[in-house]
Formats: sequence, C-alpha cells, structure tokens
Amino acid sequence: MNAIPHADIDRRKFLGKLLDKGSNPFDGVEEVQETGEKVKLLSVDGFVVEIDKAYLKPVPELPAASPIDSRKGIEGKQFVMVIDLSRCKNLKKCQTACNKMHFVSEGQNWVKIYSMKESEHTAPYWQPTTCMHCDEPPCVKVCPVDATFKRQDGVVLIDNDRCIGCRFCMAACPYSTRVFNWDAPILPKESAQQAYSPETSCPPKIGTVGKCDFCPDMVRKNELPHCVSACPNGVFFFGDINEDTVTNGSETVRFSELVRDKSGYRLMEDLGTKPRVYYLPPVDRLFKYEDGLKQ
Amino acid sequence: MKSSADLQAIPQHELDKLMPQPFGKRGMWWVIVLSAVCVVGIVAYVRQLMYGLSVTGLRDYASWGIYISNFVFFVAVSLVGSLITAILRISNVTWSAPLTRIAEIIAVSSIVFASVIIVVDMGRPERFMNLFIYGRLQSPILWDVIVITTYMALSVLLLYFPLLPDLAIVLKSGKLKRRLRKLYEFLGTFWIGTPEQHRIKEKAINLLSIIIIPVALAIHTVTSWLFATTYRPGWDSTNFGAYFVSGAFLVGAGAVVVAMYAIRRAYSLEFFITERHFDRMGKLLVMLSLLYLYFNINEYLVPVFKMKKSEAEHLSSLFTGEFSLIFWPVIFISMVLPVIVLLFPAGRRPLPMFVIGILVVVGAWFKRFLIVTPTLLHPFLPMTDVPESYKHYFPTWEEWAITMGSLAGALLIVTMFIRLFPILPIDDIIKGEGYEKESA
Amino acid sequence: MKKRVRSIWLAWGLAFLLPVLAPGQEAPRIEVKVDLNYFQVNNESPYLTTKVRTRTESGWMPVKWVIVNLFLNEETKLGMMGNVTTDEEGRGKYILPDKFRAAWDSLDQFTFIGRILSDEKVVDTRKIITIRKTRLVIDAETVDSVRTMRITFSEKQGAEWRAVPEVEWKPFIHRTFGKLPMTEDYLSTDDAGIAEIEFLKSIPGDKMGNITVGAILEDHDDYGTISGTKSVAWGLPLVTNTNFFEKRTLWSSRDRTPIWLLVGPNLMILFVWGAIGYLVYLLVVLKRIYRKSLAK
Repeated sequence: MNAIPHADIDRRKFLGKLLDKGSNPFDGVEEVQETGEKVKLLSVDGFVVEIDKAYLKPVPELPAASPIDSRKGIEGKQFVMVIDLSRCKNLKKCQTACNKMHFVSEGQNWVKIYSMKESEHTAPYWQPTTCMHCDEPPCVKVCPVDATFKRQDGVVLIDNDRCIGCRFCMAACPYSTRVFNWDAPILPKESAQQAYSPETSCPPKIGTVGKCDFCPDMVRKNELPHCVSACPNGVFFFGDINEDTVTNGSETVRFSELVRDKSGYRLMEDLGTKPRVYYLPPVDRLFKYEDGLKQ
Repeated sequence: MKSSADLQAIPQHELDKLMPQPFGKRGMWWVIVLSAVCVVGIVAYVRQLMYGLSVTGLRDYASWGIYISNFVFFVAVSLVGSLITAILRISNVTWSAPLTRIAEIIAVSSIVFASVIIVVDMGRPERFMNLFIYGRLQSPILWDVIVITTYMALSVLLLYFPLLPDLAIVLKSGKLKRRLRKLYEFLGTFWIGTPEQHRIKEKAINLLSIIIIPVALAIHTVTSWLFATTYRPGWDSTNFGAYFVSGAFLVGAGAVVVAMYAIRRAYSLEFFITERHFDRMGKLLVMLSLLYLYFNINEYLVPVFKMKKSEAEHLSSLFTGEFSLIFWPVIFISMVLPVIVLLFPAGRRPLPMFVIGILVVVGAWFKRFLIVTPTLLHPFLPMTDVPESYKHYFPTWEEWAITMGSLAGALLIVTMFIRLFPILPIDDIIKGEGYEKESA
Repeated sequence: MKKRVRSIWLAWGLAFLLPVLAPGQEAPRIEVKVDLNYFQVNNESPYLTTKVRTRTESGWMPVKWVIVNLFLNEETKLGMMGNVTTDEEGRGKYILPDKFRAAWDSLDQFTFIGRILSDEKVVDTRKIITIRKTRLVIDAETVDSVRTMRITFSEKQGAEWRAVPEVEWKPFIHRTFGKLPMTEDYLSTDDAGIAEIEFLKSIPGDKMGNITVGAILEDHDDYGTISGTKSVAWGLPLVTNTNFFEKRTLWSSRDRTPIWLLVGPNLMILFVWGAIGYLVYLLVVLKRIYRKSLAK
C-alpha cells in the first residue's frame, strides 16, 4: 500500500483521502526522503495530482460504507435537489455522466430528460428527472424484502444484493424512474471486481432494479452528485436542507429563498409522495426549447 | 339424501367407470403432447436462467407481461375450488356434489402453477428465500405469499378429506396394480368407514368449507392489490378486489365446464355427469358473466365519464388503440356471448357449453393481459428518452413457451390425478348425494 | 505454378507491409492554451492548477493526458518542481513540494512557469504567471450583539507585511458543497488592508450553532486565488429531527412495521393456520380410530 501505481487505485474508495490535510507535504511533521518517483493520483475535485511516492502514507483503505451505514444514511443531513427548468437545453451531459459513473446499461437512463408540453397552448420545455427520493416513497412501501429503503438523510437506495427482481417497485413508482438490469451489465474489470455497496450501486447486478441514488458515495466525500457537476448550465442544485443551502457547483444559494423566489414546486404533489426534488418553472429561459432539439 | 331404493338404480358397470383406469390411446397422446409442451417450457426457462430476463420482451415500462397476467389467471382459476365445493356446499346446493373433486383438483393444480410462474417472473429466483428471511409485512407481495400458501394448504386438505372413503372403496375393489396400491395404502389405509370416522370427516369438510371462503376471497383480492396499491391509471381503483374475484369465479366455472365435458366424454360418464349438470352450470355461468360484466362496466365507464388525462390515454389504447383488437373480443366473445347463448336451453347442452367454456377461459387469459400490460405502457411521464423497443411489448418465444408450459403443466396435474384417483366422489354418489337420474 | 502462387503472396504481403514501412504521416500537433492558476487557503501550502484547452470549430475543448512541466522562477533543472498530467477535463493540480520551502519562505514574489515540451500531440507551449506572496487574516467579533467579520490582507515586502488596499473580497459562509455568499456585493479593503462586514443572516449551523465564515479573492492578477475561513457560533443551532425515520410507517423497514400491520395479519395467520393444524389433528384422530380397530 506504500506505493500505488495509478491503474490500481480504486477510484471510488481512494479518492480524496490522500489529499486530506494529513498527507499534505507542507504539513508533514516528519521528514520524508523523496524518492523522485512520482505517482499520479486523482484528487478530491477530480484533478490528477502528481505526488512523490515518499509522501504516500499507508492510508487505511477507505471502504465503501458498510451495509449498515448504507442503510442508515449520513447523520444530520437531509439531502435535497432543485432542478431549474429555465436553464435546461437538453444537452444530456448529466445523463452521460451518470450513465458512465453508474454503468447504466445501453438504452437505459437514471436521469431522464423529458420533452414536456402540458397542453395544446402551453409552451414545451425540457424536464430532467432523477429519482425523487420521496419522503413517502411508494416504491419502498411495496418492496417485499427491504431491498429498497429510505435513509435518515432522505436518500432512497437499493441493495442489489438483496433485491429479488420482482419489479413491484417499478410498477409502484409514478415517476417511472426505476430501471431493471435485464442483461448482465457490461463492466470494466476493475469495477466488476469492486466490492458491492448500495451507496455506489456498483457493480450493478443482473436481475435487480437500479435507479438514481443521489450519489451517496460522492456526497459522503462532500462532493456533488455527477449530474450536478456535469451540467454546464447549472440546472441541478444539490444540498442539505439542514444547511438551507443548495449549489450547482458555481452558484451557492439559500434553498428556502430559491424555492420561494422562483416559485419552486414538486412533481405530482397530489399523489402525496412528498418528493425531495424541487423544480423551478421554465420562466425567463436561458435557451429556446428548439435549441434542445438540435442534439 | 336419496332413499336406499335409488341406490340400487346405479348399475355396476356404471360404477366400474368411476374406478381409475389406464390411459387409452387418446389419453396417451394427450399426456405426450402436454409433456412435450412442458419440456419446451423448461428449455425456455433454462435459457432465461442463463441469460436473465433479457430473453423476455419485458423492458422498463412493460416490466410485467404475460408471466404476471398468467399468474393472475392461475390464481383466478384456483378460486373455483372454493366456489363449487365450499360456497355451494354451505348454501345446501347438492346438485354440484359430483363436480366438487373436478373443481378441487383444478384449484390445486392452478395454485401450484401460480406459485411456479411467479418464481419464473423473478429476476433473481435463487433469492426466493429472501421473502422469508427479510420479508416485510408492509408489502402486498408478502400478503400474497402468505395467502397463497394458506390457500394451497386448505385446497389440498379439501381435496384429501372427501377422497378418504373413495380410497378405501377403490382399494377394496382389488383392481389396483402393485405400485398404485402402495400409494393408496399410504394415503388411506386408515379409513375404515366407521360412523365416527364419517362424522369427523364431515366435520373437517364443513370447517374447511367455511374457512376456505375468506381465504379464497383473500388470494384474489390481495392479488388485485398488487395492482391497486399503485397510482397507475387502470389500476388505481377501489373496485379492484371485487372486480378480480367476480372475474375469477367466471373463469373458474368456465374451466370446470370444460373439464367436466372432457372427463364425461373420455370416461363415458354420462350416467353421472348429466345434461342437468350442464344446464345448471350454464345458468351459473350466465349469472357470473353478468356479474363480471357489471364490474367491467364499473371499471371502465366511471373513468371514461371523467376522462382524467392519465386515464384517457390508457382507455383509448384499449377502446380504439393498439389493444382494442384484444379488448373488444374479450368483452363480447367471452362475456356477452356466453350470456346470450346460455340463456337458451339449447345453449346449455353439453357441446355448446363446452365451446362457451373454452371461450370464457381463453378470454379470461387475455383479459388478465389487458389488465396488466397496457397500464404499464401508459405511465404518468411520457415515454420519451427510451429506445423504441421499450414503448411496446411483444412476448418472446421463451415467454410463450414458459407460459404454455405452465398451462400444460397444470393440465398434466389434473390429468394425472384423474388417472390415479376417482375423479367423481364415489362414496357420495353411492350414498345418493348429488346423483340425479336423467328422469328426475 | 508454384512460383506464381508465391509471387501473389509476396504482393499481398507488400501491400500490407508498405503502409507500415512508409514514414508515418503523423497528425499535426495542435495549438493549445495553457491556464495556470495559483491557490492558497488559510495561508497554508499553496497549490497550482492547470488547464489545457484547444480551440475547435465547436469552441474550446479540453486536452487530456498532456504533461505540463512546472517550474519555479527559472526554467532550469533547479527550478523544476515537477509535472502534472491533465485529466479528461484537461485539468491538473499540483501541490508545491517541500523542497521549495526555503524559497517559499524568503521570496516576496514567485514566477511559475507551465511548460509543455516535446509532446506528441501538442505544440510546445509556455505559460508564465507571477504571484506575490500575501497573508490573509480573518477575524470575527461580537460586540453588543453586532457580529462582524474582519478581513486583513497584506503582502510580503522584504521582512515586512504591507497592507493591501482596494482588493475585492467575497465574504461567504462555508457549506458542505459550496460557498454561500454573505452578500451580493464585493467587499473592498481600505488603506489599512482591512474590510469589514456585519453578519446579518439567520442561517442554520451545526448542533452547537457553529458555522464557518470566510472570504475569498478570486483569480487576482497579482495574488492568485486567496481564501481564509473562521469558525464562529453565529448560526442557528441545528435541531435534527429523525423522528420521521424512527416512526412505524408503511415505508419503514421491517423492524418498524406498523403495529396494526403486525397484529392484524398475524392474528389472521394464527387463526387460519390454527384451523389447518386442527384439521391435521383430525387426520391423526382418524388414524387412531383405525389403530384401535386393529387392536380389537
């Protein structure tokens, strides 16, 4: 563990830990003899960093959250998302990033971008949907084996080691957010060998259900979910309602003020599912609807 | 109860027909064909085990298809056991007594294959035990697991208790081959027919008849709740339990009609299964068809009147859209037509009854398909951003093979039962229960 | 005949070999733009980020897997700090190594040089930035329930630290996923290098009401990106409510099944299976009668 060649680094487990204060060369109290050999690492914010081998300390391997922690959720957090429809141009960068990071099968998406048009005379708009992470989740209600569950931080997850593949949750979800691994997922070798955790949803498993998980593995490292950081237009705001703050990476705003000032709403409020994803209506749009058709 | 004078009216050669008999040539072919269909189904299932549910036509929207509709069909058919045996018994209807065992074996084999097919639908059948290890009572699936297990136990008992005296009668006749005799001895040596044993048997059957009714209603109501507990258009209905139960009685009665015709023909049982039985089953079918039509009108007319946006798309796909070619035949051929035909005495004769019975059963199978899949293809959010193949559902050959295999399997169980055991309750018939002469 | 066959084979072989043997027609090396940025947080060890982009028809595109060599002050072996390879987004990050600490402590001003040299795909490029060494102090005080955050900013000149006026800071509240701005406006330092802001917000903090406030100077030509933070008890104490999670609801896990759902169905199960048990018992009774009759 002293020297880690780049390829062997398990990104999801290793990310960030090395660059915490403790391993910062300047803070190092003890004298370190440099070897001159450089090792590439990926930092917290996604940069590749070069560090002299000597600075690599044997960091206790940071495993994905244990099954028990995965089920409990992160204490003191209440995650929430705000999707600003006035900024969406159907670029699908969110979708691409999400599909790539979660190895979503061909043709399936966890983030779906709907072309919406409510009625004849209303204007069409683009509506990205993630899992709504409902506070009254109909999918969790119907699961016979506790394979999908609600956590104290609000996130609804799936344990693919337990799922029996009955697909009742898919029928129960009014937002059609869930997808099924009909085929064996195609995975790079490292990902296939990775230890499964409901927080990473990786490696995905055949015969079980998958869906947007709010990237709890990223969130545990105080990083934004992949869709949020992938969107160039800042459509997705993510944050902790306990901090009353959401951010899209470049703008950080008070959640309560954003939702109040821009008339935030939730999808299918009448069903009583109490989603955790809020929408800002498509007013004062940055792009024309037609711009989204060009892709 | 008939007087003892009537008993002597049953000629011995007619009674002999009630004994289990080896298959004839037609019987052999019937078994071979059924077994072949089963084998093809098993081959298809092996493929599904190897490649996962991707061998099916199911995709994210139509995530339930003919496996689930077939499951609902089996559960529906199995309800007939409680109808013919229990409900008619406790309402003191005696004419149906000769049909009870037919109804009960249909019930048992259907409920067995309902369980089989639901495992087939699972993405991870090897995790079946999770239902017991991690089962949570909030899920209607667990309720279904519980009531189906319970109903299976009750149905087997309801098949077994009335069989006891007959086992003794057949054993006594001494016509059994060695291996079959072993089976009979295992199952029924202890029946010696003392008055006390008869009293206990009657008590058990009475208790079963009462208990099985709420459980039977529960299996199909809970099965309907698998759908009705969701928000989906076409499923979001408080009417669903009653709608399913009434449909189940109809298809179950239809199945019994088909079976009694086939058994009557195969074993020349005209003496016992008379035209009067057909006549009465015909009247019952009319009533059940009307009942089911009533619930259908409720299920469709009320949402049609309101035409809520989400319901509207679903309904128009049924009435005029891609499912209309199944929807209208199901309504008219398997619900309206039986009422019209069976209202005429000539329509209640055995052959027309048999044809109508088949129409009812086949229609009921497609009806279950119409309940399950069209709804899933009309979600709240539009089906954009998915491959074209996700927007429609066509079952693959594997799905058809497995479904047909399960249906053939259920028929095979019924057939083997008829081969091994007396299909009519001999003891009851000798005692005159439900036995009616043509002239009566 | 045989000969002809052989010559055909030879022709085939040549056809495949020629393109390999011919001098490679390499794709022209592309022109790129290298950005170099300097960051310092809480006066701790600084780091550099680099971004390599190229102009295409569809705008600026990141250039990945390019090695950028980094030098301090002079482009010599002595000034060589190290190198960094850009990631998929064309970005790289580099923390200043310890061996330059001496230079770091003594100098007032640094020149950082980012250099792409002899890359297969990219034209040799150089980017130079000059950064002056600064110090940022964040103070927070509460006087008569007026809460004030003070920024003191100075730059190194020889042995002294001289106040820097007219630098525009963004005051913020540190949040898990970002910096929540305290105001819409910038905060400018005065002649003493000081800027103050009254903290007016009521905003949730941690359980003790602690929040982290701070200020950031973004992408300054002379100073780079400088930020500092301080923890203060200016937030509203967070009342975590996990009641909803503890409740017995229809969506809870199985250990929190609603009582009515435990009692009702289990009573029914008990009743019906009790009856089934009784029926099995009746079978046993039937057998007993048989055995008795045998004994007779």
